[in-house]
Amino acid sequence: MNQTTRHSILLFTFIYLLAGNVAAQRISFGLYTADDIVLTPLNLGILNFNDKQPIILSGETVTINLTDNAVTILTIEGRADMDVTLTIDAPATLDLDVTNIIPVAIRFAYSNSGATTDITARASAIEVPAGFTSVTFPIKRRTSGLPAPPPTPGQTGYSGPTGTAYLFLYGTFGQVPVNAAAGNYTGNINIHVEYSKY
Amino acid sequence: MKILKHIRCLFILLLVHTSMMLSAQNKTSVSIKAQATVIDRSGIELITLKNMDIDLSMARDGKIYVSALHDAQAAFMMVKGRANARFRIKYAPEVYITNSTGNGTLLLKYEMYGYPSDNQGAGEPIDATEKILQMSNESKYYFWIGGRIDISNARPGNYDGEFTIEIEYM
Repeated sequence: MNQTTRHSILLFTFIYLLAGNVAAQRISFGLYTADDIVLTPLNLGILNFNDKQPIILSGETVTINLTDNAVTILTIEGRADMDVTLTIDAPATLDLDVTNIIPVAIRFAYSNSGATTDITARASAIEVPAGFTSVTFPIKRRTSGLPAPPPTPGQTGYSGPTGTAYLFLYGTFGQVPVNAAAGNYTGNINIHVEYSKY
Repeated sequence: MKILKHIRCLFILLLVHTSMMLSAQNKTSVSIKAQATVIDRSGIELITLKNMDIDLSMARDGKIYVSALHDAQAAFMMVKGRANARFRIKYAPEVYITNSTGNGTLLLKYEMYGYPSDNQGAGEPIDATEKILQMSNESKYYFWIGGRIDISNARPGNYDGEFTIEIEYM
């Protein structure tokens, strides 16, 4: 009877320790990253296809390219030596109502070259291939050399170096159906960014 | 001793859970609005079915009034477009009509009524400032145009003028 009881306790202890070891990696990264990522739209926070083509008629397709002025720009400010994972949840259509919908394909690019303006950042932007919805990159990329040692965790009296990366949104609207109803077609692009966990 | 181990393991589990909650807050989200305004390619056709007829016999105390709602002399127009489409309308509320001999002008102040079918008496008043209307199932909308004119100082002759109206899909 005593023998059976001892075996049970040992087994439970082993399971708990196993769980603690697996999650220990999350503790070390999750605690010091804190909530210091700031995602800020630089323009009105609107990707407006009429900025590229003021009059959009049925049968037409409008494409905003990375180099166009109509691109929507956001900044990502955070720890320069940390990787961030960016996820974009974009609609497949812009909608006037439930029956009037027009396809849209949202693309995005990022720039982590350490540029101080969106103009210079755009020149070095990296386009994420169509169809991808998530990308991981450091806030500021290395120019050369081996990877740096793990970053020093933030603590009282110390905060690591910060940097700014840029995000560019663009894409293609249409083809507008021939019988499309006139009106303002809209949709929301949700963007999430967080420090990467490995 | 075994109880102490249990407590320590539970503490680790609690710490793991807490750290996962903390990391869940470490995330920034922004919503960007994507939009495009599409304009209808199909045109709107404006057809004048009848001009406004005014003659001196209608004058009272030197003034003529043609009711857009009741008078047969009112001008009659029809808009053809897309069925049930909403459209925006505005028009110039007054116009100077000119004597065909070039001798003087008169100020004509318009009034306008509209209805989705050919029923003058059922029309609704339409202000000169912008108004939003809707085509009928038959892709039509009808307008009747009347007006007021002071002819007390008018020289004899024929007077001609235009009615300026703007219509566009919404």
